[in-house]
Amino acid sequence: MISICIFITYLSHSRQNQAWGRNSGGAAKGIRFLADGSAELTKALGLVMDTPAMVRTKRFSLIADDGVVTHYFSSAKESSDTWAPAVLSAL
Amino acid sequence: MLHLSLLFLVALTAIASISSVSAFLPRQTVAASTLFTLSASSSTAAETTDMPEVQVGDKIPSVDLMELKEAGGKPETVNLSDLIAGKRVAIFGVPGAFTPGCSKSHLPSFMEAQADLKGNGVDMTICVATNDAYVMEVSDNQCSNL
Repeated sequence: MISICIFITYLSHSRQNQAWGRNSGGAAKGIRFLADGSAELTKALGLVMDTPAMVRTKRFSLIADDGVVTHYFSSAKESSDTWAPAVLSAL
Repeated sequence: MLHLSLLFLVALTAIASISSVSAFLPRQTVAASTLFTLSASSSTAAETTDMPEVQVGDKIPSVDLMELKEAGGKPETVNLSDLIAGKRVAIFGVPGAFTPGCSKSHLPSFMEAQADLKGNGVDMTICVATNDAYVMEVSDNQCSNL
């Protein structure tokens, strides 16, 4: 993806993610909605899901303590493995 | 970036060592070793785009993400490492905002769990997505019944 595209998607995607945060009610609950428009984080975490349209993020959840991953929940087997109840039961 | 630079250096070293050896070999062998060098460097390039999946003990990379806090405002750059330094956080990633699995299960589960997460010392919950055209096509109302 050329750099100009990344810049544009960065901007538009953060607006979209913010819109999702607002419309879903998640932002009101205090959840931060951050756009990984260039997929830099997704790539660094090794969670690239290549689709014909774009790079998506494989569904995941994790807990990090001071920047270090202490619990990781993959969706490789079941999506529900990444949902909050699974996370809470591991804490 | 450090990983990329290191792999690049390793590839360069490999090329350099093979080239120096090939100086003492007959011409046909040189051609073969050149091919080997090319394939070795291309496989190195492929590995750099395929990072291993995150695991317990890994450090969350220092990457800049974008956040829009208020409708109509300007998106702001948020460095993930800075944001989560000294905190216990939950981070979840989804294939796309507004996609069914994300809007109907993953995100709502974390919305409902906020009090329990805070009770377990989780200071902040962060949702990340690369996002796509889904969000452009979905009307506001479709996600209001969560």
